[in-house]
Amino acid sequence: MMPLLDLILAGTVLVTAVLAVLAPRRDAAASAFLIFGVLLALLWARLEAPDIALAEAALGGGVAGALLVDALHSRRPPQPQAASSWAARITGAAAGAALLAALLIGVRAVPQARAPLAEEAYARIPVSGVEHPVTAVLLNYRSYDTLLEIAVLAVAALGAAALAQGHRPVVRSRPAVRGLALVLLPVLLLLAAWLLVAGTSQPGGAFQAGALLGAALVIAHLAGIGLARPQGLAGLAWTLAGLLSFLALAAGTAVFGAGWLVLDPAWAPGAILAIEAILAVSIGAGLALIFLSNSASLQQNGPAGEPGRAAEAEPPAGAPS
Amino acid sequence: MIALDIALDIVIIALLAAGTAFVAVGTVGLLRFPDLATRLHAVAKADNLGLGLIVAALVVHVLREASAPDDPAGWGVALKLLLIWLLALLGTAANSHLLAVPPPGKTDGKGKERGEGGRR
Amino acid sequence: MTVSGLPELMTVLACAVLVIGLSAHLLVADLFRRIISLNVASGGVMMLLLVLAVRGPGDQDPDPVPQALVLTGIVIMAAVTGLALALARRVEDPADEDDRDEETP
Repeated sequence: MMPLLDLILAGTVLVTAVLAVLAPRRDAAASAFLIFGVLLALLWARLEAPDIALAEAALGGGVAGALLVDALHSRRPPQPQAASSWAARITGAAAGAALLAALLIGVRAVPQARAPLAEEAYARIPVSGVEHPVTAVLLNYRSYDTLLEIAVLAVAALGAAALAQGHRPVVRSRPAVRGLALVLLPVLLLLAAWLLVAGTSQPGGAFQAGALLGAALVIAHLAGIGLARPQGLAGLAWTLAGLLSFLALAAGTAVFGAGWLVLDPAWAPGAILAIEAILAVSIGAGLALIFLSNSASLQQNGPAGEPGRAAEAEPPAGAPS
Repeated sequence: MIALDIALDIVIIALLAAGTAFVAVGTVGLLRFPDLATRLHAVAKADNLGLGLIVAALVVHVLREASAPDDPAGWGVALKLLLIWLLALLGTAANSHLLAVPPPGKTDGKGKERGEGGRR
Repeated sequence: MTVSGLPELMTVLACAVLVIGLSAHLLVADLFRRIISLNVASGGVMMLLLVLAVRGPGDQDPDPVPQALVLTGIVIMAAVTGLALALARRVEDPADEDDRDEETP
């Protein structure tokens, strides 16, 4: 017997996915996708993956939402382009249906029993340095994956920064924004620190904490609180710090230890927490850099005579600061 | 004891029903009202009240489920729930203000554009 | 721990969401909507991995390996979305149109 709530959740996930894909207008598509992201976080919680639910809520709902909504203010909203031809649509739908059938057959062929890798992951937790299995996989057994993930994030942040047309200035914003930011920032920072430390023994960890830190940096910047400049040299340095310190750890274990990224159980807990702390700040700085690089072009590079858009978060230039 | 349990059940159900009713009314307002200001008015007020009632129901539930009447864990969860509501209140207030009041000196263009978007 | 039937439903849902996102990604012309479609498809992939993590007979803890993969994937998807949006913005930026005109004879 399937609980009714699960059926409703699955149905709304499917509907929002279809809406996000089919909506002809950009803002409608973005709204539907953001609802889809929130529902996904609920779904991950139902699938016994609280870590993923936390990350999805922070990244899918928060950071991606900010990116997409910000992108709606594109300088030249493109004219609705000619819809793809009916032949293309029918071919696409047929190919999609074939792919769906193939996927379903393939997934059903996967054995029902838990993979042997999972047994091994649980068995080796006592020597991993942490108590939470997902953190153990991320930062001990498969730390190569995390190293490469940080590399991807750093490259994406560098790419976005290279595409940016100037820095988005810190400007004093309206009192409502400032007030909200001054209340939210301590909450976000406390939550990020707690998630980071709690991640060794329960759901949470560097990624969730990093996403929250990124959100906090963006909020501070938009509210005109110049705590940190993700677009400056320091921001760039922090974005690369995670990758570089991870590489240093890998090199250190290779030269002095048992091999690339093989952590000794004696000092693994401290090393994991330290690298997680650096990773969290690095992820936060990288995400904030990506967001601000995206919105910088909006601020600077507009044709004159279109006053309403560029200065949306800005008070008049003469405002006291 | 059983009578108390039943009474608390009734309280929880009543709070939940009232809360969902307010959220539903707010959503109807969002869909039916003609422009930005009236839509904000519906969503900001009704949703906050609805969320508050749902949080109140959850607080009652959590405190009842706590093993002892003054169990610190139960109160901790209750306080976190209240904090969620307060943050949501603050967020709604700030968002509604930002959406409704055009930035100083920017009354042209933007406000008009939003008004037209709302009427569509 | 899972209610019986939930994995089956979620398997079908995951495949459907993946196919919807992927087909739209290939069919839609607008860059912004294409990025959103890719995100929808990635949601389907994540769902598939997480369903595989909880499948299995009896009450047992979920497989942490696919969960870690999905966690990595979420962060990468956010970063890639940001980069893609930056690229799309530059593609559509009228200020960048000039050099395109010069190159085409």
